[in-house]
Amino acid sequence: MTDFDTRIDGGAVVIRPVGRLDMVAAPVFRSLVDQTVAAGNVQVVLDFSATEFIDSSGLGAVVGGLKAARQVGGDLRIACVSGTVWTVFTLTTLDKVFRAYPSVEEALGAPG
Amino acid sequence: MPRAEASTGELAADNAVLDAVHAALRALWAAASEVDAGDRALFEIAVAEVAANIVQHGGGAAVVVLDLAADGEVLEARFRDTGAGMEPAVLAAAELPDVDLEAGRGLAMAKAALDELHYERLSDGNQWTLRRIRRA
Repeated sequence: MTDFDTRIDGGAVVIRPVGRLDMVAAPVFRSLVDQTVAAGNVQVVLDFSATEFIDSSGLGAVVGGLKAARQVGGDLRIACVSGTVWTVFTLTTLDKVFRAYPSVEEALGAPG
Repeated sequence: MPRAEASTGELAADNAVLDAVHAALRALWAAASEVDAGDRALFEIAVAEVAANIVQHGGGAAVVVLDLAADGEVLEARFRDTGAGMEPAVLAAAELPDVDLEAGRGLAMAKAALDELHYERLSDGNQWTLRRIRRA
Protein backbone atom coordinates (compact mmCIF):
# COMPACT_ATOMS: atom_id res chain seq x y z
CA MET A 1 0.00 0.00 0.00
CA THR A 2 1.37 3.35 -1.02
CA ASP A 3 1.15 6.25 1.42
CA PHE A 4 1.18 9.92 0.50
CA ASP A 5 2.84 12.33 2.92
CA THR A 6 1.38 15.76 2.30
CA ARG A 7 2.54 19.06 3.81
CA ILE A 8 2.24 22.73 3.09
CA ASP A 9 5.56 24.51 2.63
CA GLY A 10 5.48 28.20 1.88
CA GLY A 11 2.78 28.67 -0.71
CA ALA A 12 3.02 25.15 -2.10
CA VAL A 13 1.72 21.71 -1.26
CA VAL A 14 4.40 19.03 -1.19
CA ILE A 15 3.20 15.50 -1.90
CA ARG A 16 5.57 12.60 -1.18
CA PRO A 17 4.51 9.15 -2.39
CA VAL A 18 6.02 6.43 -0.22
CA GLY A 19 6.33 3.14 -2.10
CA ARG A 20 5.19 2.60 -5.68
CA LEU A 21 3.30 5.13 -7.78
CA ASP A 22 1.66 2.47 -9.94
CA MET A 23 -1.75 1.55 -11.32
CA VAL A 24 -3.07 0.99 -7.79
CA ALA A 25 -1.80 4.27 -6.33
CA ALA A 26 -2.20 6.48 -9.42
CA PRO A 27 -5.95 7.22 -8.99
CA VAL A 28 -5.35 8.07 -5.31
CA PHE A 29 -2.58 10.47 -6.26
CA ARG A 30 -4.66 12.02 -9.04
CA SER A 31 -7.59 12.75 -6.73
CA LEU A 32 -5.21 14.12 -4.09
CA VAL A 33 -3.87 16.63 -6.63
CA ASP A 34 -7.42 17.50 -7.73
CA GLN A 35 -8.47 18.13 -4.12
CA THR A 36 -5.35 20.20 -3.47
CA VAL A 37 -5.92 22.36 -6.52
CA ALA A 38 -9.65 22.70 -5.79
CA ALA A 39 -8.78 23.93 -2.30
CA GLY A 40 -6.81 26.77 -3.90
CA ASN A 41 -3.32 25.32 -3.49
CA VAL A 42 -2.25 25.52 -7.10
CA GLN A 43 1.51 25.15 -6.57
CA VAL A 44 2.30 21.47 -6.13
CA VAL A 45 5.68 19.83 -5.61
CA LEU A 46 5.92 16.08 -6.11
CA ASP A 47 8.74 14.77 -3.90
CA PHE A 48 9.98 11.45 -5.29
CA SER A 49 12.54 10.85 -2.52
CA ALA A 50 10.62 7.85 -1.14
CA THR A 51 9.13 6.57 -4.41
CA GLU A 52 10.74 3.31 -5.40
CA PHE A 53 8.91 2.77 -8.70
CA ILE A 54 6.55 4.46 -11.13
CA ASP A 55 4.64 2.83 -13.98
CA SER A 56 2.71 4.19 -16.96
CA SER A 57 -0.41 4.74 -14.83
CA GLY A 58 1.56 6.70 -12.25
CA LEU A 59 3.23 8.72 -14.98
CA GLY A 60 -0.16 9.46 -16.53
CA ALA A 61 -1.40 10.71 -13.18
CA VAL A 62 1.61 13.04 -12.91
CA VAL A 63 0.87 14.42 -16.39
CA GLY A 64 -2.79 14.84 -15.40
CA GLY A 65 -1.80 16.60 -12.19
CA LEU A 66 0.41 19.01 -14.13
CA LYS A 67 -2.47 19.84 -16.46
CA ALA A 68 -4.89 20.33 -13.54
CA ALA A 69 -2.49 22.72 -11.79
CA ARG A 70 -1.67 24.69 -14.93
CA GLN A 71 -5.32 25.09 -15.86
CA VAL A 72 -5.76 27.25 -12.77
CA GLY A 73 -2.52 29.17 -13.16
CA GLY A 74 -0.42 26.90 -10.97
CA ASP A 75 2.28 24.33 -11.56
CA LEU A 76 3.36 20.83 -10.61
CA ARG A 77 7.08 20.42 -10.14
CA ILE A 78 9.03 17.26 -9.50
CA ALA A 79 11.93 16.90 -7.07
CA CYS A 80 14.38 14.26 -5.83
CA VAL A 81 13.89 11.98 -8.83
CA SER A 82 16.43 9.19 -9.16
CA GLY A 83 17.05 5.68 -10.38
CA THR A 84 14.25 3.76 -12.00
CA VAL A 85 11.76 6.63 -11.65
CA TRP A 86 13.94 8.96 -13.72
CA THR A 87 14.53 6.16 -16.25
CA VAL A 88 10.74 6.11 -16.81
CA PHE A 89 10.72 9.87 -17.49
CA THR A 90 13.56 9.59 -20.00
CA LEU A 91 12.15 6.49 -21.68
CA THR A 92 8.89 8.34 -22.36
CA THR A 93 10.56 11.70 -23.24
CA LEU A 94 8.71 13.33 -20.33
CA ASP A 95 12.14 14.48 -19.16
CA LYS A 96 11.61 17.18 -21.81
CA VAL A 97 8.36 18.31 -20.15
CA PHE A 98 9.40 18.19 -16.50
CA ARG A 99 12.49 19.77 -15.05
CA ALA A 100 13.69 17.56 -12.19
CA TYR A 101 14.73 19.69 -9.22
CA PRO A 102 17.43 18.18 -7.02
CA SER A 103 15.56 19.12 -3.85
CA VAL A 104 12.11 20.22 -2.69
CA GLU A 105 13.62 23.54 -1.59
CA GLU A 106 14.91 24.24 -5.09
CA ALA A 107 11.56 23.30 -6.63
CA LEU A 108 9.83 25.70 -4.22
CA GLY A 109 12.30 28.49 -4.83
CA ALA A 110 12.48 28.39 -8.61
CA PRO A 111 10.72 31.19 -10.47
CA GLY A 112 7.44 30.29 -12.13
CA MET B 1 27.63 -15.77 -14.30
CA PRO B 2 25.47 -18.85 -13.63
CA ARG B 3 21.84 -18.67 -14.66
CA ALA B 4 19.62 -17.21 -11.93
CA GLU B 5 15.87 -17.77 -11.76
CA ALA B 6 12.85 -16.55 -9.81
CA SER B 7 9.11 -17.09 -10.10
CA THR B 8 5.91 -15.75 -8.61
CA GLY B 9 4.18 -19.12 -8.72
CA GLU B 10 0.52 -19.10 -9.75
CA LEU B 11 -1.31 -15.97 -8.65
CA ALA B 12 -4.85 -14.67 -8.74
CA ALA B 13 -4.77 -12.00 -11.47
CA ASP B 14 -5.69 -8.94 -9.42
CA ASN B 15 -3.89 -5.80 -8.23
CA ALA B 16 -1.87 -7.84 -5.72
CA VAL B 17 0.01 -9.34 -8.70
CA LEU B 18 2.22 -6.24 -8.70
CA ASP B 19 3.48 -6.96 -5.18
CA ALA B 20 4.40 -10.50 -6.21
CA VAL B 21 6.03 -9.30 -9.43
CA HIS B 22 8.26 -6.83 -7.59
CA ALA B 23 9.10 -9.47 -4.97
CA ALA B 24 10.14 -11.90 -7.73
CA LEU B 25 12.32 -9.21 -9.32
CA ARG B 26 14.01 -8.59 -5.96
CA ALA B 27 14.64 -12.34 -5.64
CA LEU B 28 16.14 -12.42 -9.15
CA TRP B 29 18.54 -9.55 -8.38
CA ALA B 30 19.52 -11.17 -5.09
CA ALA B 31 20.58 -14.23 -7.09
CA ALA B 32 22.14 -12.16 -9.92
CA SER B 33 23.73 -9.30 -8.04
CA GLU B 34 26.16 -8.32 -10.82
CA VAL B 35 23.40 -7.17 -13.20
CA ASP B 36 23.88 -3.45 -13.89
CA ALA B 37 21.42 -0.95 -12.38
CA GLY B 38 20.46 0.42 -15.79
CA ASP B 39 19.61 -3.01 -17.16
CA ARG B 40 17.65 -3.79 -14.00
CA ALA B 41 15.64 -0.59 -14.22
CA LEU B 42 14.58 -1.06 -17.84
CA PHE B 43 13.77 -4.75 -17.35
CA GLU B 44 11.70 -3.96 -14.23
CA ILE B 45 9.79 -1.26 -16.11
CA ALA B 46 8.92 -3.68 -18.90
CA VAL B 47 7.93 -6.53 -16.57
CA ALA B 48 5.70 -4.23 -14.50
CA GLU B 49 3.97 -2.82 -17.60
CA VAL B 50 3.17 -6.27 -18.98
CA ALA B 51 1.87 -7.36 -15.56
CA ALA B 52 -0.36 -4.30 -15.36
CA ASN B 53 -1.58 -4.91 -18.90
CA ILE B 54 -2.58 -8.49 -18.03
CA VAL B 55 -4.47 -7.35 -14.92
CA GLN B 56 -6.20 -4.43 -16.67
CA HIS B 57 -6.65 -5.60 -20.26
CA GLY B 58 -6.10 -9.36 -20.12
CA GLY B 59 -9.64 -10.36 -20.88
CA GLY B 60 -10.55 -11.53 -17.41
CA ALA B 61 -7.40 -13.47 -16.60
CA ALA B 62 -8.01 -15.53 -13.47
CA VAL B 63 -4.52 -16.89 -12.94
CA VAL B 64 -1.13 -15.52 -13.90
CA VAL B 65 2.39 -16.81 -13.38
CA LEU B 66 5.69 -15.01 -14.02
CA ASP B 67 9.02 -16.80 -14.48
CA LEU B 68 12.22 -14.75 -14.54
CA ALA B 69 15.76 -15.67 -15.54
CA ALA B 70 19.11 -13.89 -15.87
CA ASP B 71 22.49 -15.03 -17.14
CA GLY B 72 25.65 -13.35 -18.38
CA GLU B 73 24.01 -12.11 -21.56
CA VAL B 74 20.28 -11.77 -21.21
CA LEU B 75 17.37 -11.01 -18.87
CA GLU B 76 14.20 -12.95 -19.63
CA ALA B 77 10.65 -12.99 -18.35
CA ARG B 78 7.70 -15.17 -19.29
CA PHE B 79 4.12 -14.50 -18.24
CA ARG B 80 1.34 -17.03 -18.74
CA ASP B 81 -2.24 -16.21 -17.90
CA THR B 82 -5.69 -17.70 -18.36
CA GLY B 83 -7.51 -14.67 -19.76
CA ALA B 84 -9.17 -14.18 -23.13
CA GLY B 85 -6.21 -11.99 -24.00
CA MET B 86 -6.02 -9.11 -26.40
CA GLU B 87 -5.81 -8.58 -30.13
CA PRO B 88 -2.14 -9.21 -31.02
CA ALA B 89 -2.17 -6.19 -33.32
CA VAL B 90 -2.47 -3.97 -30.23
CA LEU B 91 1.10 -4.78 -29.30
CA ALA B 92 2.46 -4.18 -32.79
CA ALA B 93 0.68 -0.81 -32.93
CA ALA B 94 1.74 0.38 -29.48
CA GLU B 95 3.73 3.61 -29.60
CA LEU B 96 4.30 6.46 -27.21
CA PRO B 97 1.47 9.02 -27.24
CA ASP B 98 1.98 12.77 -27.13
CA VAL B 99 3.60 13.90 -23.90
CA ASP B 100 0.44 15.62 -22.62
CA LEU B 101 -1.72 12.49 -22.75
CA GLU B 102 -2.48 10.65 -19.54
CA ALA B 103 -2.80 7.08 -20.80
CA GLY B 104 -1.65 4.66 -23.48
CA ARG B 105 2.07 4.41 -22.68
CA GLY B 106 2.33 0.98 -21.06
CA LEU B 107 3.13 -1.38 -23.91
CA ALA B 108 5.18 1.23 -25.76
CA MET B 109 7.33 1.61 -22.63
CA ALA B 110 7.77 -2.16 -22.42
CA LYS B 111 8.82 -2.33 -26.08
CA ALA B 112 11.28 0.54 -25.66
CA ALA B 113 12.88 -1.09 -22.62
CA LEU B 114 13.36 -4.50 -24.25
CA ASP B 115 15.06 -6.09 -27.23
CA GLU B 116 12.21 -8.55 -27.78
CA LEU B 117 8.59 -8.61 -26.66
CA HIS B 118 6.36 -11.39 -27.95
CA TYR B 119 2.70 -12.03 -27.24
CA GLU B 120 0.94 -15.27 -28.18
CA ARG B 121 -2.56 -16.51 -27.67
CA LEU B 122 -2.52 -20.12 -26.53
CA SER B 123 -5.41 -22.60 -26.51
CA ASP B 124 -5.88 -22.04 -22.77
CA GLY B 125 -4.66 -18.48 -22.29
CA ASN B 126 -1.81 -16.21 -23.26
CA GLN B 127 1.95 -16.08 -23.11
CA TRP B 128 4.22 -13.05 -23.07
CA THR B 129 7.98 -13.40 -23.56
CA LEU B 130 10.26 -10.49 -22.67
CA ARG B 131 13.98 -10.36 -23.40
CA ARG B 132 16.57 -7.69 -22.72
CA ILE B 133 20.20 -8.16 -23.78
CA ARG B 134 22.43 -6.87 -21.01
CA ARG B 135 24.30 -3.72 -22.00
CA ALA B 136 26.68 -3.88 -19.05
